[in-house]
Amino acid sequence: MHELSIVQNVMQIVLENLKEKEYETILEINLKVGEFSGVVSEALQFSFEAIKEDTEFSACSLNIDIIPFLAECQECKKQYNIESEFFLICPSCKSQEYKILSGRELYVDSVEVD
Amino acid sequence: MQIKILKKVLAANDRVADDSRKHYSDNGVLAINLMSSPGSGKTTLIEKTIQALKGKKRIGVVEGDIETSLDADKIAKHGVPIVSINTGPFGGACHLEAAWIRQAADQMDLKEIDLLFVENIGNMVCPAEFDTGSHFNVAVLSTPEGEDKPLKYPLLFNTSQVVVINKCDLLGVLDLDLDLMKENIKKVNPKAVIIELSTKTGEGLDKWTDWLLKELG
Repeated sequence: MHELSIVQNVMQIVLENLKEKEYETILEINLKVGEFSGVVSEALQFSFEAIKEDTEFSACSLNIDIIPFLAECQECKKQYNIESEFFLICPSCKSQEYKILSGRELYVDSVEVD
Repeated sequence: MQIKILKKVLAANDRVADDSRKHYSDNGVLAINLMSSPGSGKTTLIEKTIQALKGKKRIGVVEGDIETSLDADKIAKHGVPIVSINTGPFGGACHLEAAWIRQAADQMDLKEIDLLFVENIGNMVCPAEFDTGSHFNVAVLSTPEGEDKPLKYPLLFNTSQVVVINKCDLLGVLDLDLDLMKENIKKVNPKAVIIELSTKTGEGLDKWTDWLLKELG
């Protein structure tokens, strides 16, 4: 359950960034999560709901946007996704020289306040 | 009203990790983070390494466990500096964060240590996501766990520069296809250094200590 630590980090980041802003209620947190970040969305939601009561986030919902995994072959430059299994092999030239372009993200994109 | 934030969630941990890595380097310490499922042999690997490098390199250990000091007690018998982290008070966390490790490491005299092992919580999912501030991640995979583990837990194997395949003494009695296991590791991490050994018989342990000695310089 490292998702609990992550949710606590998210709340801290939001509060730090709202310090000098004027608002009454935090309505939504928009979180970007890479497909290959190792975070389970359901566990994030569960942790968020479990700890938000009696905090500034009690009226807030957590929106999670999943960013698909994308790698680029360093030999033929083909960009490829991973489908059922995680193989870092270029489907076109079979090279294993890769660069991960997306899918490892984990960041707070924005918040909606009133 | 929408307010853009664009902040990495683990930025705080990443900052501490980068700072710790530099701190360990400045003190002449090589930090190695060991990750695996429970029971793959991380503690035994540390014990055997302590014995093999006795008189050559000075070892310190940060031992992570959710509860109990059983592993820490085993390692303490070898007379090396050890600090235990029980994550029970941190909500039974299934991983170690850079700041906790740094706090533990700072309880040792780093000038008296060449090699710092961080034994992460036995778990193939969560630890892989937190930079511990170590110089290398090492995944320990034991033969009874089966060929498919690298494919099921790709992040752990992808973020480890070295994969130790332990319990190779059992190869004769298991149905394991070792070549397939290695192929699966390479699928998720083509650059992984794979070291096959048995902490029980000691076979292959020299390849592991050779790697450590090379990195220790």
